[in-house]
Amino acid sequence: MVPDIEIQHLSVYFDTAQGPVYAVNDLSTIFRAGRISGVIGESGSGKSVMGMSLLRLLPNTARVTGKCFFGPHELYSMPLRQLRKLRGAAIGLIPQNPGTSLDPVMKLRRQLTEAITTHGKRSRKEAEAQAAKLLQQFGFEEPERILNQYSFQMSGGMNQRLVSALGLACRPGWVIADEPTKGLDAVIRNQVYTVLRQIYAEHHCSMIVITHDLALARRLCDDIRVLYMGQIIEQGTAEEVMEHPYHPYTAGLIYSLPSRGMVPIPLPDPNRLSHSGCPFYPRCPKATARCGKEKPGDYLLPTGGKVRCFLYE
Amino acid sequence: MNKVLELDAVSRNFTSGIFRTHTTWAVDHVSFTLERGKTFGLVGNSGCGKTTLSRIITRVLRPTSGSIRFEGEDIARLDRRQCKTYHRRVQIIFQNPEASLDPSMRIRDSLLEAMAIHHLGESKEARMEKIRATLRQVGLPDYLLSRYPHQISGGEGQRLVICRALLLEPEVLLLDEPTSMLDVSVQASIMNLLRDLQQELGLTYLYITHDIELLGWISHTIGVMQKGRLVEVGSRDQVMDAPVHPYTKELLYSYTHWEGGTIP
Ligand SMILES: Nc1ncnc2c1ncn2[C@@H]1O[C@H](COP(=O)(O)OP(=O)(O)OP(=O)(O)O)[C@@H](O)[C@H]1O
Ligand SMILES: Nc1ncnc2c1ncn2[C@@H]1O[C@H](COP(=O)(O)OP(=O)(O)O)[C@@H](O)[C@H]1O
Ligand code: SF4
Ligand SMILES: [Mg+2]
Ligand SMILES: [Mg+2]
Repeated sequence: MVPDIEIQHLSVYFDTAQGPVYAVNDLSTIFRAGRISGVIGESGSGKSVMGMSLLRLLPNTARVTGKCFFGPHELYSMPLRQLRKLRGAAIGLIPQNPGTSLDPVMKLRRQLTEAITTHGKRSRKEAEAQAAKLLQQFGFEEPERILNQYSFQMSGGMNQRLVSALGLACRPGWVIADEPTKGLDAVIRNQVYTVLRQIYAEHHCSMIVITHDLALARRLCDDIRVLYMGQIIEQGTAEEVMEHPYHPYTAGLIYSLPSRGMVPIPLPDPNRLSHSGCPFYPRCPKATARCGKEKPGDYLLPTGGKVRCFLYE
Repeated sequence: MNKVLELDAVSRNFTSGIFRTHTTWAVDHVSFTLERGKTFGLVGNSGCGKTTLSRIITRVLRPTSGSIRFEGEDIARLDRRQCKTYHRRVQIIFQNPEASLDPSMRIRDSLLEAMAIHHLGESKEARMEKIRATLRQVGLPDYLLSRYPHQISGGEGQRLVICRALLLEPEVLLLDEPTSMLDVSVQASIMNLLRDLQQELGLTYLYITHDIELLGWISHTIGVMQKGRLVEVGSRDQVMDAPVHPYTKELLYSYTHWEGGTIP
């Protein structure tokens, strides 16, 4: 059985010359095995930092507190040597920048076969056959030709499909995909969607999909968590969150889509910047005086979702 | 009808290889007209030639054949002085704001320099006056002036690039995926800004993107490009609601339908 991923009180900050930068703020959640969980939110809301913390792939200026349980393991404190065995094998990663996650001077054949042989005890020949099969699954018609090429010879969309193939090379039970469709046009985006869906159906793997792409999240995910300033401010099924957003921030994100009106979220009100209440208070069109003084808790919705806003107390 | 920019059968090829040469027609006999005060939206998938076309319009690349007229004048025949005016009046805004701002210069100096190059403003004081007014117009606070490009967000960067373009009093803005690196919420604020500016200043836009929904929101006329060719041109409603070419239908379809996306 593939275990759940259970994060408890995760906080992450970075030591910088300007002082600490907080990226994740006391975040607790359980990602259920067997589901596709989406994480949405604006740039800088802490999505990638949360995702990378699970594989301990944050830069060494990151300070992490909290716990994360994965079956018998506690990911944040287990010896790095053991954690490396989980990376790729139990939890695969489809990283955010396809350009930088492929080695420019190594042929794709070697990169893919190495990813497969690192964990599985497979001969090189078997690994090559599996690599070719994987590429085929990802829509490359002539895998042999692709294997002899370098990543710079591929287009952006092809590279995105390649890193996806790499992330899934060892058939991990869990996959973390960080922005799998960023910058892709509609046709390639559909391909990536179809492949992720297919992998999910065939390997029954569990996924965390981090994305800016609200339409993708709606289609691909079972449930969605909305991050704002390192906190989960709303959580529910994909349909609930996208069709009936509760939190004013979630609603703001959705109504800024071209198909939903293109209405921007207001900029922070300069008079509301120093406050000790709800993180969305400076930009919230529905804020009351209380919101600037007190922090809202998580309120349960009748639909089963959760929202961190006084309006639903 | 008031024609600002007219493209007539513009083509450009690239050849590669030494022994067996291979020719790609990145842009293939493209013709269309930008009308004053309106937005022409150009849509197509990656690699279809959109950026090559915008590089030809800004004279970074020469077309292999075909011509472009700006207010009736062939842009290939401009002398040096006319060229400079052309670059002031037809400006391009790219995807990546950081790449368009000099990282070693404070924002204030970048903006002042842009104006000085084109001899705009009587004095430094007059220029600063105009800069402050334009910043307000694009919705930015004055305190950004003393910052460096790495100290501002993507959305602020894109507003600044628009501000710098406006300082030079342009006629036409070529917008090449100006919001594709931004969050949807920031994208919405930039799109609204562009629409307001068009109404206030009568600007003409060529808006380039692969996002057909976005284009539907801002365009008056839409052109659909496939492998270097313009396969369909029509009014916004015609293209969005009653597309004729199969490729346009596919583009619209892939935006709204996910299941069964074919893998080539
Ligand atoms: N190495 C670092 N040093 C300092 N601050 C950092 C570092 N990495 C991330 N941060 C900060 O942490 C916050 C969250 O970053 P993160 O990369 O998780 O955002 P994100 O939601 O993934 O955004 P995007 O959608 O742009 O990828 C941001 O404020 C960011 O500036
Ligand atoms: N300098 C170049 N040399 C060779 N091929 C090029 C060059 N620039 C563009 N191309 C090719 O021309 C086509 C169109 O490219 P481009 O205009 O950048 O597309 P878009 O902007 O629509 O993504 C692509 O097939 C691309 O590979
Ligand atoms: S708690 Fe108040 S400020 Fe925060 S989102 Fe709800 S209404 Fe807005
Ligand atoms: Mg990220
Ligand atoms: Mg381009």
